[in-house]
Amino acid sequence: MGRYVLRRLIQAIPTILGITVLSFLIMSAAPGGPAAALTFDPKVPAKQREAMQEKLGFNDPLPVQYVRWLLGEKPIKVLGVTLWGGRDVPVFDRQGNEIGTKPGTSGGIIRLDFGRSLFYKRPVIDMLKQRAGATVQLGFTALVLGFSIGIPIGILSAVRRGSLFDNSSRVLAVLFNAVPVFWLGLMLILVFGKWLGALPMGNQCPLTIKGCVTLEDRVSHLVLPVFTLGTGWIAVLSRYMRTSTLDVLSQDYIRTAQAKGLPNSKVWFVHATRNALIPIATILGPAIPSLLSGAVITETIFSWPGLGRLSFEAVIQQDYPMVMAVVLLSGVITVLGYLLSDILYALIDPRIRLG
Amino acid sequence: MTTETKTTPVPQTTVTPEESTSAVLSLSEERSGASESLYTLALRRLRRDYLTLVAIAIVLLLALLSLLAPVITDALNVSYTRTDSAAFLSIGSPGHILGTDDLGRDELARLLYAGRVSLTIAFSAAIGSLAIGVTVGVIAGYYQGGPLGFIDDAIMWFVTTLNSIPTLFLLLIVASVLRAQQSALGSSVVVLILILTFLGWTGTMRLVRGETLARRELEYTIAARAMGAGSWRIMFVHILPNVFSIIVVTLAIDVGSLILVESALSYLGLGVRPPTPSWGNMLNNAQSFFDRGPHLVFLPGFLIVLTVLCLYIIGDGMRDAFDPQASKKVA
Repeated sequence: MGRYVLRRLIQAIPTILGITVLSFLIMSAAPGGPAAALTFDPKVPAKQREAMQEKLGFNDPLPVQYVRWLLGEKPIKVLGVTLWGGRDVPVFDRQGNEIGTKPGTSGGIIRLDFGRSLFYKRPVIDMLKQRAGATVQLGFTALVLGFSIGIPIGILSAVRRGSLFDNSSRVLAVLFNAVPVFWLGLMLILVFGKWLGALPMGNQCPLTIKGCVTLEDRVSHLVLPVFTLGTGWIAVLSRYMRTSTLDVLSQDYIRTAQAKGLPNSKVWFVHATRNALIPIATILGPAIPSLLSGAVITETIFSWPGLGRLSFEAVIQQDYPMVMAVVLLSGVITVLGYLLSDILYALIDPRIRLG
Repeated sequence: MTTETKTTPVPQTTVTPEESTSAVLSLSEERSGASESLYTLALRRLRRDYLTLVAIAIVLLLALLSLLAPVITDALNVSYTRTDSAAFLSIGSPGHILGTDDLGRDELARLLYAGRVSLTIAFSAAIGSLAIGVTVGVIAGYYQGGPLGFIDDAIMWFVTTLNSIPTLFLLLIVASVLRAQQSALGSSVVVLILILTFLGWTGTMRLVRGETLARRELEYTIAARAMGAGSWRIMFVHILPNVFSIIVVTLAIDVGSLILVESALSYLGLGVRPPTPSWGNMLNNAQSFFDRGPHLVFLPGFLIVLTVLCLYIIGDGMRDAFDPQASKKVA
């Protein structure tokens, strides 16, 4: 098991490197791009700005820029051995003239230094830390909702195969897969927020000075976004669970359990469910990127202060360091998510050979 | 290409001599014992699947309505760009069957033109990514493990990387980067088709690669090689037609998913840009119409759901028709 995990981790390295190369290339193709944004100052003439960009190294060959972006400008030393020299960066006065150099301070992507946000004027990593909690809360609750409703529906559908319940739940599952997340969110806001006035239409907490006072404040704000994000999961999980339960129900041990006189409920929800849940572990990997994508839309609609809305706003504001950081982060989380779901799959099912 | 002759007469088929040309016959070659081609069989199963037929009819109707948008709007004397100062946000007023939007533009006309845009983008991108996915998939699968295996390794590395970034994040950065360069590339519609095409082929590619891996070891491939066929001929004349039916099945579902992606991007303001309407960007500031124009929130979304639902049903029906074995396992 340990060797398997280690090998999978090593296999993930080229993928993660690929993600950094890809996002770096896309961003360096951006018009204006980080170079223009960093040296933008209306008081400095355009020609001077070009000279600044040249000195800052934005005209260096792309691979050089990539390595610098990856490793940073601060030297990397391990046990006194310098692995990466870093470099000195030029310092400019207010007119854009070079007045000397100072040792580089940026740690590079490898040291989780994503630079400063052009919009918030704060280190990107601080923004990410600040917003991550809200996204985890939303995503986790949505997944729990998906599991707690989707799994029982799937099991009941399978044991009552061909019944009205089975057919209607299958139709609903296809229907909800066809509903765009953002429109579902809009309709939920319209019906429950606007018409019925029963639930808040957005934000994580009431927009008052006091913020979230009671638990009810928190929960009521969570309901609509969680349903928006989780409905698709109910649909997907119920379909998967139905298929996998049908597979299990045709096996001998189920017939044995029934022959021994166990009540149906026990056979279905204890004996069958345990084995039917095994293939569901493989969905957890793909669940993470799709939750992140869903979070972008859901958080934007509901003004949810999480990573998704931060990403969307960064794109609109052309906040390049932030965009790079969220893309990289989402990629790394995805890779780790797949890894985790593979390991989980192997752990809960001893029949899986670690290939 | 093939000179196969049918020995047994085919009962109850409507295959005309023109239709049963080499392409169809070459597919039936491998189905030894079956005197009907895969496509004829699939068509016959499809003809009994009423749900799928209804879904096909609805999609065709929507496509036809969108295609005839100029004719219909002319006949109703409405326009998708002209503003009617007498009617803002009206819900059904004389002259505007489905009412008007916040600028007094006819909602029906806008829905029809938006359908044009959304369907064009989804179908073009689906066919484009299908072409790329099939080509790359056959090449990668064919060379896998051989002396030219590095081709497959490189492709797979790229695809794994691309798939590791959540779709929407990838679309967001690419759309935002390309947005500023739009004038050079033409309209936002073309840009969106290109983005969705170049980011959407990986699923098809994986599928085709897997099928190619299996088929390159089959007897007919070995026979072709023994007869001196080159790699490219084996890939694109012998293997490709045989994996094609698997791909055709996924096309409807791909188009459906692409409509969802396009509408989400346009809703976020990174897809089709106004004044060109698309079902997604018509919902762009839907939240501000909650009070006075709920029809503006409901109608575009309803059309998206209807279209995507029908396409998904068609996709399921196609799978059943082409591969009844597989669907029995799932159902």
